[in-house]
Amino acid sequence: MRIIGNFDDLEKDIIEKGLCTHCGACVSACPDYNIEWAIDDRPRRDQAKGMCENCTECYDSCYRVHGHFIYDQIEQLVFNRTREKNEPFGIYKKILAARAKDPEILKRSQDGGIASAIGLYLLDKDLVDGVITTGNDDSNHHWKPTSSVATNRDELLKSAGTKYYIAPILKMLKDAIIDMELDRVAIIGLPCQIRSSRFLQKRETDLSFAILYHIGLFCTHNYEYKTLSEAIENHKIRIKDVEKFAIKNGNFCAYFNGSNMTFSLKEMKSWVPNFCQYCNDYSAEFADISIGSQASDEKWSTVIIRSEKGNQLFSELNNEDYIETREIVDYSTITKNSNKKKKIALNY
Amino acid sequence: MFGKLLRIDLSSKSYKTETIDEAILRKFLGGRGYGAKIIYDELPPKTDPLSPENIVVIATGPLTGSKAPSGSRYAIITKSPLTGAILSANSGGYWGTHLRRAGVDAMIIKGKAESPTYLWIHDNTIEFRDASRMWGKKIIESDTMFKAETDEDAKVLQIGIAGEQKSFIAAIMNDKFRAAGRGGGGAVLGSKNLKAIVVKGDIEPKPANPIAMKRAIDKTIKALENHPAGAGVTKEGGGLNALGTAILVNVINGSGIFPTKNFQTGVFENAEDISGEKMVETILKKSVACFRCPIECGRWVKINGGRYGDKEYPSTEGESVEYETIWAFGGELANNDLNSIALANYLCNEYGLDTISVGVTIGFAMELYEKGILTKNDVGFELKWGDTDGIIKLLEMIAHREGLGELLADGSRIAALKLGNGADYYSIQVKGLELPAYDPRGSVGIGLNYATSNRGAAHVNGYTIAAEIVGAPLKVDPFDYGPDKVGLTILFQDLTAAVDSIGECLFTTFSVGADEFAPMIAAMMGWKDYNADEFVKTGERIYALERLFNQREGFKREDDSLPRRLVEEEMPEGPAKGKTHPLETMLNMYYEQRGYDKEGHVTEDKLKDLGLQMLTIAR
Repeated sequence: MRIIGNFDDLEKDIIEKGLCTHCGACVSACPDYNIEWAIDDRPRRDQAKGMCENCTECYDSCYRVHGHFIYDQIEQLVFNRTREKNEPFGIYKKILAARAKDPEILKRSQDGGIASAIGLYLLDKDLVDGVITTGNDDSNHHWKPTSSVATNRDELLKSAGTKYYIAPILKMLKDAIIDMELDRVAIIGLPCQIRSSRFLQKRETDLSFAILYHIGLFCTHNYEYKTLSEAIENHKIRIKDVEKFAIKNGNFCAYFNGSNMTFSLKEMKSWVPNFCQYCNDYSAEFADISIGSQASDEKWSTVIIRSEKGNQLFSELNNEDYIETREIVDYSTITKNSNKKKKIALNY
Repeated sequence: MFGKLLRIDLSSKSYKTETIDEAILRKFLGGRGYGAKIIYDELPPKTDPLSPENIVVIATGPLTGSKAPSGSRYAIITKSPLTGAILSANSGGYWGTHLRRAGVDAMIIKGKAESPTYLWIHDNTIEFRDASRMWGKKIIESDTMFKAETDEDAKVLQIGIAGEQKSFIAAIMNDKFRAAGRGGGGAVLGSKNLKAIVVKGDIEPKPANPIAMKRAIDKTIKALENHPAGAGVTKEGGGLNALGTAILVNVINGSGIFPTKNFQTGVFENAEDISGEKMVETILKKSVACFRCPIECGRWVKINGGRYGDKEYPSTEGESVEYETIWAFGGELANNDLNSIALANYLCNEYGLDTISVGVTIGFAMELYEKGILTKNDVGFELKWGDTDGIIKLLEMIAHREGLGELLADGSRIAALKLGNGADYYSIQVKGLELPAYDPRGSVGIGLNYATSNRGAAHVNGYTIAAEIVGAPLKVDPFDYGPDKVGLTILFQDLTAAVDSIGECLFTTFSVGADEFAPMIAAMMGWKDYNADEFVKTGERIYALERLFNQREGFKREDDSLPRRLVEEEMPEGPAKGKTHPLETMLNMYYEQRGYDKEGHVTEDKLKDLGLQMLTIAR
């Protein structure tokens, strides 16, 4: 007889089945800090310790466990209602295009720099003590996304720009709240990371009480960093020399030294990590605000304002002149992309 | 948060729930402190401990079942049949966690059930159920029966046949192998016809301030994990985690205070044979942890064949053999057979007996046999030091109250009273509670603690061994009996009283202290200005309240004593050779430092200082 839901079960049911979305929540959840994000890019536990016996925190904190993430419950928590049939990509209040006014943000950002502008506003106005987000590893592996906590403008700006792989940013809940003693944090993350974080809130885990804002980013899927870097380096280009990646006309383009190389998105299908194939969330449906590029012009961001909290925050940004906005008349691409992702997503 | 109280009346099979006043919790916390408050307030003076009127408080602490490391404990508080004093015993495992998670932070049990009864507490439901089928069964078997009748995942607290037969040295067992062992709590439950309390709960207690809680827990875990007296290991691979409490066998014997042959000496020549190191080589299968404990000091042992591994006792495997038990059936009885010790421990668990009191009472009988006060005729067989068959036989007799066992089943003090003929000199106890495994002649602080502990000779009420011998968290001279040692003993007693009241294990105190506990309590309870000083002061208050209870029951300075052997006979050999225990000198300083009068009574001024002035003092 053994209690179900320890790390062995997490390994068997989630990690080894390829369902783990690399959010890092289990690392923060472990009361004994016995789980680490390992060098082979997955959660690992050295060995069961005394505290592991009859402890199910890691398993209980995993939103991917079957039956854990229940749409209705999370929507009630975030929006005080559940979605209607005519809300195919989740509940929202409005959709518009926006772009940051700060020239430095614009320079560093993929599109309109709205995610960075929101992060910066939250820090400037002392609404949070830190922003947990995905940074760049500019030591050895340029373009390898890292988990980061930004507490000031410089740190935040370093995280600007799209990455094409995922970092276990929720492991930073522990770093930010325990080690750095931050009381209030915002999360800027992919749809899966937002879902995981919302699940922690629903479970009322200790650290979740410090999470005040969820800013989501559109996502069709990720590409394995290892595969991407090997593909680039096969062309005798060091990945750290790449200045920018972007998706253009069905191609994935890498820009470097005034030149560029392209890969067809079709060819890159095999680069998609397993866990992305189970995901049906394109537009970060449980965020306070979701941000992407599709449906707006170049150098503008598409913004879906979802929750009341998100609405409030976004109007403040507007009033305080951090951003400019304009209408989006046709947002059918969002519906289209979202529907497509839901259609091809595998069940688990 | 903390404070959900369940009152049980066994006579009428009724219950009610209450919320404990927060002001009371702030003054006494939970566990031992809350229990002392209830016993003092609600138990009429001079109540017969085995009458329906006696009260049993079972209380978790604010950290029990939370995410705090090593917060697994519940305490039982009642009037002891063995000592007549207040009894506070506590235990880990999983039972306390489940009680709290089932929505009961503390319970007060009164009355007496008409027939064997157990309580089944789960999902905010309390049921009184028939325990007739389990009455008379051994612990492991009845544990299985209770689970079959309730829930496979339930946790069982129960008494064994020793408790049913109201043996004054009967323990309260939980999770099969864990015991709130000392002082005869098992007999009190037996007198109430309460065989067991079965619990299952899943709702984790929520701290008032979750983030502060997580931070405080983090600090505590790190301190525990980095200390060999916590979850860490020494360079040589030693430590509490690696060797369990049995690590102490060689340490204590090396210090010349490993009581041997009923405290005739402090050096056991064969200690190595029964050491923690030896256990690792022989009977140890794995280490075992209580709920959320990184220390993992529990030992899972299996007797490897040999004379006790197969024939009469075929399946002897389980969690057991702590240091005290190794000593009680080892050095105390001059027995160097680890298998027989493991078996004795296993049997004590199965019958629900306190291993320390059983061992020391057998040692008492062996010495009486040696001195000719007991004869072969009295015992039924030759009772020689180190005779493993004799030890097991006598243990069985005590458990079943057969032959000489009837005399010994209520501990050595009562047996000595009945025997007369100078037997009382060999009864090694204080206030009736048998001494544990440290000879106070070579560690004088622990002697002062034995003498002044409110439940009798208990090492776990002021474990100065940590400082006098082990050196955690600091090292002091074991022979020094000056004011500093007295002050240190008092500090150990006060800190322990507080730790026993929050649900934390005493073993955390080798590496963490009030500075770690206070923030966790503050976060759990939402007491913003709660600090380490208040925590220790609470311990002092609890200690004084227990003493006030004993005072009301008629306890006097002369009860704060040590066995004559330890203050009169010089230690014959080893590092403590030539020493006796300087009790009277230390006791005078002790009362003065505590703010008690020369008779050991708590003074009015001290009551005021502790915020207990509303209490009337019995003299």
